[in-house]
Amino acid sequence: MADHAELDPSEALALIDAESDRVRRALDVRLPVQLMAWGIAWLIGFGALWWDVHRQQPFTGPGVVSAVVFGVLLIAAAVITGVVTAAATRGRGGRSVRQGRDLGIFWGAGFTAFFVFAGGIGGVGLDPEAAGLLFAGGSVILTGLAYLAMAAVFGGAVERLLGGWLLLLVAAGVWTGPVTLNLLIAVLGGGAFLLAAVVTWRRGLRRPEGRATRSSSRAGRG
Amino acid sequence: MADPLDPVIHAPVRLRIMVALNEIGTEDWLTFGRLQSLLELTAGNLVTHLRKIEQAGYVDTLKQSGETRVQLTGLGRSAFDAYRVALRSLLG
Repeated sequence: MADHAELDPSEALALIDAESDRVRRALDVRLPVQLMAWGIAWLIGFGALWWDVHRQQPFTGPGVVSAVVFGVLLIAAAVITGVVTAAATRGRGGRSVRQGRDLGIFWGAGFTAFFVFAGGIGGVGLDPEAAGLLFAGGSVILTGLAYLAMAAVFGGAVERLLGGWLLLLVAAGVWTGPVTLNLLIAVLGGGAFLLAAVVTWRRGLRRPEGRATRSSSRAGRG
Repeated sequence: MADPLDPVIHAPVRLRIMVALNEIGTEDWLTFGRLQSLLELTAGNLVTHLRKIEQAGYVDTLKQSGETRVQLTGLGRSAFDAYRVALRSLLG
């Protein structure tokens, strides 16, 4: 574009609108894509765990195949989250980027500590039903807390609802036992992610008023 | 009568620079390279216009860790808001 091109006021306003839209899209962390990835991972992953154990008498816990399917899907969702976030925040820094990165690191550290902790409990003796409840429920609680933390920092209503729903889901679902808990997490947890993906995608189609700054640095994670 | 539109901002390339920097958080920055790729400008063109905006106090540039970071200042953000208000008032 020529440096000294004449701009009349209506052209200038149109340029602001078009450029804002273009830049916002380039800096967007594609939250619907991330939520969709986690929703599919939870729906199929926890669904596979449930399918594996739903006829067990007595309950012995998921086998290797369903555990591997679950693990691969979660890793795939984590990779998608990492790739789209890295692309959006490339060459960008400052407070909101640091906050988003810290949230991701802290969530990962908490998740790792939880699995080591739960493994330690298993090491001193834990029956399979209790282990099933601990691993499934604990990981969903941590994920719910991560979304609530994101909402506290960036103020997203969808993240707030999703985080609260996941906590409620575990608090209510734990009483149904380890088999049904996996099914509940698959359908109502994975389903909540997919619904959140649709809501954020539809919201993205509407042109937001003013600046869309905070949403462009936060990252979905499950 | 004086031009009511800020001449520092009221030029296509500089306006696009201001829009891009205004889209990120108030305490965030873009590297020179990212800003250049985002706006699809040549380095020379971007430097020329950034210098004019910086001279007006609307952006800060900081060389750190082998990269140049560009950030809108509080004055720049206010000037951009005022520019948009002026545009709208001109259009009635």
